[in-house]
Amino acid sequence: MIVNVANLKKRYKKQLVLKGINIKIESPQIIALVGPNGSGKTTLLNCMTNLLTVDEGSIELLGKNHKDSSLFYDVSYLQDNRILYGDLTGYDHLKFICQAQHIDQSKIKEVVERVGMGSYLKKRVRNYSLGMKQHLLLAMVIINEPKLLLMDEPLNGLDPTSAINMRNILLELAEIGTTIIVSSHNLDEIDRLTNTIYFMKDGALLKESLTGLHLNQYEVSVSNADKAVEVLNAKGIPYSLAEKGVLRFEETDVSLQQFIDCLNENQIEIISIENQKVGAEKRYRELFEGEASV
Amino acid sequence: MLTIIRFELKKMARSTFFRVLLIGCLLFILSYYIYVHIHTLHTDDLILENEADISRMQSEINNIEVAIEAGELDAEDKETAGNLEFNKEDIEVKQQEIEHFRNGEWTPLLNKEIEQYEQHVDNRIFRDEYYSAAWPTLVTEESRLEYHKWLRDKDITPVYPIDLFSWVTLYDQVYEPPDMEAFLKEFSTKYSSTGIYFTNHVFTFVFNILGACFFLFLFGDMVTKEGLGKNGSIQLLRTQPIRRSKLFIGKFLTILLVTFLLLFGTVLLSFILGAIFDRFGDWDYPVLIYGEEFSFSFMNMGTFLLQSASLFFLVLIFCYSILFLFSIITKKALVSIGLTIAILFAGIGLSADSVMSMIAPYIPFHYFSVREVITNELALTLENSSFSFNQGMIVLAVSSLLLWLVAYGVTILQKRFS
Repeated sequence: MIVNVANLKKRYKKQLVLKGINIKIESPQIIALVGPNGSGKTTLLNCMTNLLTVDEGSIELLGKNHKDSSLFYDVSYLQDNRILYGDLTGYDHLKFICQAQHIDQSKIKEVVERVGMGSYLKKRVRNYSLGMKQHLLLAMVIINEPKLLLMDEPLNGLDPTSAINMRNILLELAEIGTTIIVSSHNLDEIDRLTNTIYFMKDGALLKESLTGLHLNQYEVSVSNADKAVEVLNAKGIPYSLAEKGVLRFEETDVSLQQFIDCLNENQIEIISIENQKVGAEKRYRELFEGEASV
Repeated sequence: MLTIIRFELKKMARSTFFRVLLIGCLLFILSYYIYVHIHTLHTDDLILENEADISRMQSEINNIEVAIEAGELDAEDKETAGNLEFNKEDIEVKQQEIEHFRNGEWTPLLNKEIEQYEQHVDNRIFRDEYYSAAWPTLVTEESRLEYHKWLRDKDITPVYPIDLFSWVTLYDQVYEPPDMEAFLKEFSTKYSSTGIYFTNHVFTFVFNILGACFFLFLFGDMVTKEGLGKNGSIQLLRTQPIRRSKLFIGKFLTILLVTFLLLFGTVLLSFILGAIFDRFGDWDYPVLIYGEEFSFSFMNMGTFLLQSASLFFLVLIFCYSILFLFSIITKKALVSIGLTIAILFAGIGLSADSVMSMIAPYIPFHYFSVREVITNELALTLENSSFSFNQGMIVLAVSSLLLWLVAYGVTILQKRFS
């Protein structure tokens, strides 16, 4: 088990900010955490890395209790850039991580080239732009080639080129078996990164999110909608009515082929089928209609 | 642990605030050295002083001789002859002294002082005049005599002036006339720009509550600047395979290491300045240590400096422990420094009221005046021989340990309620 979060509860003063979170990740993948400000994303990541204590529940990462500091040989956490020391250079930060994690310092050069921060490596961090700091943070979390990478808003302050570069790096890491949990506000980037998105709201993971995104949703135009409704109800196939004569079907336990076969068997003519892929933003809008911000 | 210490050292070395304070410290030592050098009576000054005396006496002789030639004074007159004789003898003595100064022959000069007072002191001891409080008390004269003997026997260059007016002790309580007190205290403040003695000057200047405050400012934000309790840089350290207890212990050890290096650097700089502009100095130079019942002894200055540095180091550990505790509780640098300093001043103030109590020697705030503790001035003033160097070391160490236990308890509670 890569991640096993069971019934995680966290209170700030008397307010319950994580309300019994359960996450199980058994195979390497990229998972996005999405939710409005204050939904508990950062709190969840901070609890997972033992930066915050847990009030109830348990957390295991890579089969170890999350309080075991030796976990950080295999787990990295990209946090807010306020963790950086303004008086030190990027090189100092990377060197410290190498020393703390017993990594050969020759990795510094490699990771710096990979992230693309060679020119300002030896400048003091206080002179870095927001994007430069994000590059450094990325270099700091991938230098140990982690098995589990947690990222809190990694795309903040990145220009499009850097964002693409970061995405490519994350995809490469995922390919070699790194599990990545990334919280982000950039829904387009998330769409490009993963099809597994956990939506969080008011300290809870929404059930809808656990089924995953990018389910194929179809709008099926039929000749006899009334009959189709009757047949589908009788067979227990889920659907919804999009407009007159148009049924909306989402591929879950029932495949599109089974849906079509059901209609054909009952001589209901299918006029057209339109595939409408559900994006993160669309699902977000559905779930958080009325929320001010992500 | 070594990784944390190295990282903390690097952070400190790169900190502009730390660098500015270090430069300030360096400038202070240099300026203070100049001040001490100016106030030191060097051999050349002593020669000049004697030459001026000779010139004055010579002109007095000339005046007398002119007056005799003019018939204004009678050469056969006893007083005139005596005056002439006295001035000529004194010139001879002064010329001899100049020769000794030039050749660095201190023994005859010290012998002169010793011979001059030895019989007198012996008589006073015989008469058991210890209970007089008027300057010079018997302890003052006796200790001065022994001090000169120590210098002579160990062939040590004395720090001038060495006459009776340059020596006062705690037993001197009454001065006649009263304005004599200010004069004597000023005159007995001796300066020497030799390496060892200058180190003693610096230690005397720094090893007190004000020196402790300087070190508190130097390291005051060591913990709080990490942004405890929020998304500060402490989070970087906490997401490394390093135990949390090691993070704080590592920081504390770094502070101790840097404190040690600063003290060592101060000593080294003082020695270098002394060696360049004067001389290294005498490790064996005597420091007066008070004993019980009008007794006294001498400690060599090297040992005295080592003990001073050790006790002050413990004082700083105690201060840092308070600072760490407040840093953990308040998580704000200025608030923690302010509270620590307030506690120190309040502690020193309040403990002054408890001097007569049985627990007084166990109160750590009594040991901030490092010099007074080691010379037993504190024990003598408070009439409690329990105040000693060893007692101070133990009390400060135990107090610091207790503060660490409290800090540990606070972190446990904070973690539970975070």
